[in-house]
Amino acid sequence: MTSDASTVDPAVDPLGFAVAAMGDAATTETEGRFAAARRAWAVLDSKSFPRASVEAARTMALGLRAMAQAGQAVTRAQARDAVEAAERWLESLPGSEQPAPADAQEARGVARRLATVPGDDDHARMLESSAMDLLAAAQYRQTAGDAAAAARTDLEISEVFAIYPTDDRAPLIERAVGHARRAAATLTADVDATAHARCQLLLSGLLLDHPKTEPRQFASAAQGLADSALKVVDDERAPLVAARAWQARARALKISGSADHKAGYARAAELLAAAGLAAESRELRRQHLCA
Amino acid sequence: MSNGYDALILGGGPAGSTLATLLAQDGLRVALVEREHMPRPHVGESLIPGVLPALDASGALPLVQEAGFTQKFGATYIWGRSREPWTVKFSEVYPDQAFAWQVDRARFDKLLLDHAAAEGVEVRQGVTALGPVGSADDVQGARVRAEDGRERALTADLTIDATGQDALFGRVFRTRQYNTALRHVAFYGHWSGGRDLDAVLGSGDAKDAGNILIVTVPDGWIWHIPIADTMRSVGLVTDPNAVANLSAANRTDYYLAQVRACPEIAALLEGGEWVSEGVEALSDWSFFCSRFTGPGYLQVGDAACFIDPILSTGVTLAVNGALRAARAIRTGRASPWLKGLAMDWYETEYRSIATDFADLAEHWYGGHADADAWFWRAKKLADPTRNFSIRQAFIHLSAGVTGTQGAGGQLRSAGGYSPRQLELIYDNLATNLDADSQTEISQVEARFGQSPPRTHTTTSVLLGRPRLGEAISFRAHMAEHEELLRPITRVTRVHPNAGPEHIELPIAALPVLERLDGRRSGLDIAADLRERYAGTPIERDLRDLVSATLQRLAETGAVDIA
Repeated sequence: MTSDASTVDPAVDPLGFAVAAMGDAATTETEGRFAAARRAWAVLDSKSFPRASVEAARTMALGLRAMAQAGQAVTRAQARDAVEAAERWLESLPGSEQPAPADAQEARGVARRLATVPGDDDHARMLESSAMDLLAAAQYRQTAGDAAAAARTDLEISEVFAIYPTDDRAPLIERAVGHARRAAATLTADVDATAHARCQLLLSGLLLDHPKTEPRQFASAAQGLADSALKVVDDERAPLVAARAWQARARALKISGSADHKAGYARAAELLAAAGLAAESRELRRQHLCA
Repeated sequence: MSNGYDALILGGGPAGSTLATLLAQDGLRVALVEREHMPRPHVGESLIPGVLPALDASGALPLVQEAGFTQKFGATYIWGRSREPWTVKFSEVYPDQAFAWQVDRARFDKLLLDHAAAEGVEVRQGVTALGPVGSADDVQGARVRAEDGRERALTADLTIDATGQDALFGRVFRTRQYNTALRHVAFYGHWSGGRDLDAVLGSGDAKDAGNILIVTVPDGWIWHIPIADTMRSVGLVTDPNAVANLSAANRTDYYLAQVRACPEIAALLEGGEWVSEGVEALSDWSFFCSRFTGPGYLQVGDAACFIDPILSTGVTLAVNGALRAARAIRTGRASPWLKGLAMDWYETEYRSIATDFADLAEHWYGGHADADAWFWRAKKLADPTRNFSIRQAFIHLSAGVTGTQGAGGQLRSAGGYSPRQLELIYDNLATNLDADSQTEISQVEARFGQSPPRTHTTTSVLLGRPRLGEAISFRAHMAEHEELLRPITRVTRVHPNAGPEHIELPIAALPVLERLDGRRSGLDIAADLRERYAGTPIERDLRDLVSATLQRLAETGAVDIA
């Protein structure tokens, strides 16, 4: 069978397309891996292909997690499909199998966070489910004693706590800070520059978000954290993380009253567009750069 | 592409604006060119509840709700030999979508276009689309002319023809095909003052005041639409041959004479004033383009097909077409390997909805010749059931609620309904059908042929010898799944007693169906497929796939088990 799905039309030869896509998924990485597995997943329904569809689902869920960890933009549609795939994968697993449940739950947790935006009817519920998945995965990680994997899970938990909408945000923000700091201590710039940058910019935002602190008082520290993220992040490999870091810096500068914030937002908008988030880029410009 | 647009939309009517908005919301860079400057005059218009989901999806619904348009809860007809008015209320079938609006299109269209601009669409008004850049096999954009006369080419990954009845691409590519049964001309104008419909009819329901009234007259039919508290749109739809030789002044005299000679319309306009300078004329020649999509382009709204206005379906078709086009485009971008299927799905879905409306319009005009035809009898139904009595079927369609497969999807011009629906209608009619109708229905049924009853056994599907049904076809298709589309195999079977039926199977079932040749058994097919996919990750699952596919087909009677 051919191993290049781009040469096979799914409407003409769906099985050949699926087989080729699975071959592609085995030989590519990150986004390409996710996309290839998603092609196979689109064709192999779980009822007719119980074994092959699980393999496609597993590859897809892990592929999306890898995209998120690498700081690549993920669309809601991709994330929703990944949630479905992770669920299919989890359903297929015997309860006691190790270490698959940690990976599967973490993959679903990451996908759930990315599958929802503020304003969705199920936004809070999705974030709660995401946190439950990630906390369960963290427990597995601790048992297994894999420090790097545990740190990555900490980072994802921090991401969820940082955006969860609630009346009293202070305790959650403090927990988010704790998870992000733990993650940053292990995921140093030498170990994983993108992950380190994500930790720093998360901490920058959390400093300013704490309801019991005066943002202006912490603006300088927040800017320092954003700057430390910018020092290590690669604009081309992880434009979304770089954009978030520029946004974090611009936000801190704006709070401290510096006019330099506009340049930061402009750079963030450029990087968002480069990451494929044109609508968000436009909205950022509209909010911060239009007179 | 040189201009860097993801999508270029030609035309700023409801179809173009809605699609532009939806695409911009998806993060695409969208440019829209509109010949006129909004607001610009436009006939009508009476909306139907089918517009609600699309307006909701684009975020325009709250804006329309706040705009203060006249609410419309139903429609009133005076049709046929009797002058007894007949009112249908959308709430009879769709309590959640029980209203629409009568809108001044100038304001309505501007509202939608402004919303598109607010959502990030680059809107250029006063710019006329002249034709496509490239050929029908490779559209790369459009040539446009600005108001200063300068022409230029705008390029984009996808060019969308939403030019309304101008049907720019349909004309250039010569794909526009007219429906000879639906060739009419409309004369219309605006009136101020007058009386409310509920008062004139004595219906006792104030909500009827917002209804559209459609009245048959000797030369055709007249619409009366209360587009504002003090403004009414009144139009006459007639045979173009009858008015071909009239001058502009004589057209106005003819229109006014027809309007004033109709007692119900005259009663509504009592005390009112004709405020138009002269009568406006509009060609209502229904047409379909033979294709709605092609490489680099897509047609939507009236630019793809125009249906006679008798059912007020124009804007509903336009915005629902836009909603489906956006879904197909979104799918194609999220999953490029499904782009071809997604575009095919768009065309099939849109064409199917439009065909239902066209069939109903054709039937309507057919019924006009016989006052005792279907819809006239339907008003006498006292207690329609949920099982789509004729009245419900009519309201369902006149509400324009699309996406509910099964009711409208089976309409055919012979009698307007599939044999299965006709059977329901028999059961629900309080009166007997006239002899002509019965004969016609019998003839329709006879065309579907008769098949001997099938006897299913418990023999394993895999051991049996599957035989194709006498009228089964299948093809790769797409099914809606939240905001995206999923590939499926759509199997269509013409059932001898129930007309066409669709069965959805996994896309992976397609190779199984292709091998159902009436000679090979399920085991043969499984063996064939396993040999072809030996050593691949799907090998072990193939036997189950064959079994599941044949079981499903057997359950619906499309394949014999024994």
